[in-house]
Amino acid sequence: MASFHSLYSQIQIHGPYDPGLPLKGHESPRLIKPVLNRWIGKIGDPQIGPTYLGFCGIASLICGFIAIEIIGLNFWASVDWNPVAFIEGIAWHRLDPPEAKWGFTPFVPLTEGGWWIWAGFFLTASILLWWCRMYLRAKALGMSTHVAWAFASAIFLYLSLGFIRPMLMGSWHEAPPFGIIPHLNWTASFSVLYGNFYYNPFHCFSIVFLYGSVLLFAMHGGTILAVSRFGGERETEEIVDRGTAAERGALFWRWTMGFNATFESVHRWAYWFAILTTFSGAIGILLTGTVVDNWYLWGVKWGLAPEYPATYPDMTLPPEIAEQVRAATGGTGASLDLSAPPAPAPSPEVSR
Amino acid sequence: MTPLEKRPRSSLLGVFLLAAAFATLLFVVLVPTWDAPWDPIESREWGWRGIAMNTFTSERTRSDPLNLVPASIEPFEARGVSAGEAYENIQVLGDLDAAQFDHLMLSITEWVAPEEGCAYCHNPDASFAADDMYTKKVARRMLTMVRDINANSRHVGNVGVTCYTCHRGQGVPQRHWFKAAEPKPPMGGIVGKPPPWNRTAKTMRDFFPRAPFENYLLDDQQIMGAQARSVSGEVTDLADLENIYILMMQMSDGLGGNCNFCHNSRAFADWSQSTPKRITAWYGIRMTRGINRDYLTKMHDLFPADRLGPLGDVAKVDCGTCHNGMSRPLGGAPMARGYEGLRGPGSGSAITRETAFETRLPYEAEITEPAPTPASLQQGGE
Amino acid sequence: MLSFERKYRVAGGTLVGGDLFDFWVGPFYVGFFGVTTAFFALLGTSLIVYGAAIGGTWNIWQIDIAPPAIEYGLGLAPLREGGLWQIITVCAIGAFVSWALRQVEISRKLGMGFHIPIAFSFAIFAYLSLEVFRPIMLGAWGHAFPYGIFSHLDWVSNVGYQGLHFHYNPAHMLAVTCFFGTTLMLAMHGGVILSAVNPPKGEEVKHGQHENQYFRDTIAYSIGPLGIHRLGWFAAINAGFWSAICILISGPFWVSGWPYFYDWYLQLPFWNDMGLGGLG
Repeated sequence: MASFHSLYSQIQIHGPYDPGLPLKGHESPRLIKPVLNRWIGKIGDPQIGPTYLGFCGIASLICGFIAIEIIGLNFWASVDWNPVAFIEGIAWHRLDPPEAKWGFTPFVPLTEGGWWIWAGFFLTASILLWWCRMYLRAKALGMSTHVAWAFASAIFLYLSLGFIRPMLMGSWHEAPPFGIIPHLNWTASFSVLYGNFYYNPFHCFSIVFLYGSVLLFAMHGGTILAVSRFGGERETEEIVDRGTAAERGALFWRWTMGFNATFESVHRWAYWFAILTTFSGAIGILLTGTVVDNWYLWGVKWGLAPEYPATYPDMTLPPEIAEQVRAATGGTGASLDLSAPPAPAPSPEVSR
Repeated sequence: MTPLEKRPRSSLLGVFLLAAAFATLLFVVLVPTWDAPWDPIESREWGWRGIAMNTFTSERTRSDPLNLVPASIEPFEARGVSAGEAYENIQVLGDLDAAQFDHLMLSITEWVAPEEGCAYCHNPDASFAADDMYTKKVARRMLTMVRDINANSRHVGNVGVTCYTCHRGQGVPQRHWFKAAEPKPPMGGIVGKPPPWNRTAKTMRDFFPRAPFENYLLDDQQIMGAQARSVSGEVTDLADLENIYILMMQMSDGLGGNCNFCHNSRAFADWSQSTPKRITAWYGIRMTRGINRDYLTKMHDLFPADRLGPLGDVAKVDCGTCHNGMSRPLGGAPMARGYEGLRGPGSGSAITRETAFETRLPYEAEITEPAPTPASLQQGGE
Repeated sequence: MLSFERKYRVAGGTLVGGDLFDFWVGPFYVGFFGVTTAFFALLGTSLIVYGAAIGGTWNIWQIDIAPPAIEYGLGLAPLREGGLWQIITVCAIGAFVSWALRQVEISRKLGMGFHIPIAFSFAIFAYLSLEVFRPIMLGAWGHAFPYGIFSHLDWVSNVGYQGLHFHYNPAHMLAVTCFFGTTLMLAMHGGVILSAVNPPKGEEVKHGQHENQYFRDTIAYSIGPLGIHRLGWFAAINAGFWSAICILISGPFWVSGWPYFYDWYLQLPFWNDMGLGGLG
């Protein structure tokens, strides 16, 4: 075997394509005549297609198309149908949810955020129909439905952001807008408004699982590529009938860190890490503003926040600011030291 | 097996992809105006060690010619007569010694209209006392404003401001802002309001919406409830928070600093974790609001139409107008020292807070140009 | 020892030290780099515990071992003022690099490729970028992150706000895309393998043909069993690499806020010159 075979395919076989497993009687035919692409074949299977659409697939694509049309036409209309401005601003265009005054009613005039609700509705319909497809195709092929349930975890995060949390808060306004930069602005503002998302423990978990997932794929992908010279990529075969590739892969980690997964269990680690990334993220979103208002103060309450030595021990708030802060708090609470501020320090006179 | 005749096509695509990748790399390296660590970049730490409450300044800001302190004009020998006695139609500076008055007038010309000279405000065909040019009337209001700031502002400290702090040798300060036209919903409004980005802008500073400036630097909206339950029970609207966020970014950009200059970002609202700079900035926001509301917009009728913005409003200031990318304008050079005419009635002691809070790192002038050595305030007055 | 393990425990494959450390302790392979790993890891961990002991709190969330203040520049600091952090950092680098080299030795012993240590070296590169390269470029160790669970998050928060709005950092965008993309592919790959070898009751175990068929049916393309590991490995490496780049450019190569980076985009020559007019 050629020496870089683990990184890209140096020999490709372009023969007749694989027409796919036979369909059962009630299934609609597969679409797209397969093509063999040499460049894609460098890293993966050269064959693209055929694919199965069926009712769910077609309905999902139609709903997705409608959602993208609503969003895209709103973007384009916002620059008065100027195609150049449309492209220039592609990252900046936004389609906002209704303002807070509309609450959570589904009946919002289109120009006041109704378009956002409709786009969200069709996008959600499209995603849910796509989920059905993932589920039904696994069933149709006699496989279990793991992929669909992992997808469901991601959908849960999506729905938490755009639907469940706004519902709990009683306002569409809490949902993120559609748009590339606008949704990033929303993310940053959201973190500031609700204290500090780094102190949200479910955000912590989500990041741990996100980084963990990437670490796992680096470890797993690296292991499989490193034993590909022993046929290690044939994972399911090695799971049911362990060969030397699986043994070497296992021993590598056993010798490195004293513990090893098997060719099957590593996929369970992978599966749960990936699922928990979006799942714990969703829990963190759902608790924000509903149960916890300010994650930093929550962290202080539970002893998470380190205390740093005061850098400006002499600093006291001048009377006007202290007065304003005291007025805002109604003379109570807050994380501030509001003991009566002394008069501002005597300051050097201007030489006169 | 690959048929032989197909090989050239594949390698052509490969060459094309390589060229595209190389062109992208070249674009990324050459087109944006990157800083460089060998400039060198200077950093300051404002918080406890290790938590990165640091600000940076680059050579690009420090070497901006607009940030260099201009040569000052030597003060004149006192004449012993007041300007009100020596000249006609002196409305603001009547009590000033005539020599100081002349000195100030020459300085103002250098600060605001070095090329046009006296003729920028005084009609050369008429008497210097005539009020026939709008620039002179504006200049008089501006002089009142500077005297007010130097006497009463708790933002500028004993450094003081002069015309040059904003104008930098230009009739209209480089950084200013107008209200942006509310974009019209197209197609009779079948889609919602267009986003408020300024589509003709050439810089991100101008590209950002004007609402943050209008709300917080002109109207009396307070920055409140930006963090839930940390100062008050109030929680601001997410859309308002986006405006506050943009205002704070524009402030940081204007000061050449960042959020950590004033805040510990883990708890923005908490004054006890903020730096004393936040107090200065708090007064600064109020001073800017005062300048825009009490002086600039009130001069609306003085300006000709070509000086007004698209909505017919006067040019207004934000933090960057004076600061121009430095945490202290002109590196903290005490520009107003020696100009008694620039300090109006008011208690002088109220403006001297700057150095009282320096418990960690003393301010140093951020530029190496020698600061001018102006005469002390009484020189002409005794 | 696993049932099949004995025949794999052969001598040789070491990089340093010949057969001096060529033995196993329990399940662990030792080797020269095992000894150095243990040395650095134990020393570093003890110093962290010592730092916690003199730091005033045993609250695991609040323990904070901070680098020197930036007044110290790139020099050495007293132990209690950041010197501890400096020694711990040296230990961490020593342990990480030893660990990677030990992985190389084990790969050689097992006749495997070096894909795992190569991937790990990208993680080490990201760590070095944060703790060594960027501080050097900015001229002070004080720019590195502190060792502490929530103190390092405070550092991340403040460094993010040094750029005013870190989401605008283009390399950060790329890194986040790689992180999310890798996790998505991991879910798909883990899910499809599990669903093939754990079929519903009464079904046979499935293999490559069904996995291919599942993704061809649902998303029109299946990259195949070797390809998914190439792609996942590559994407995971890129997540680490672009994370390193995004922090290396933030400060040393871009001082102001990241939103203000995009002036050049608005100034591209072709936006307003197509006869279509600007919009006020």
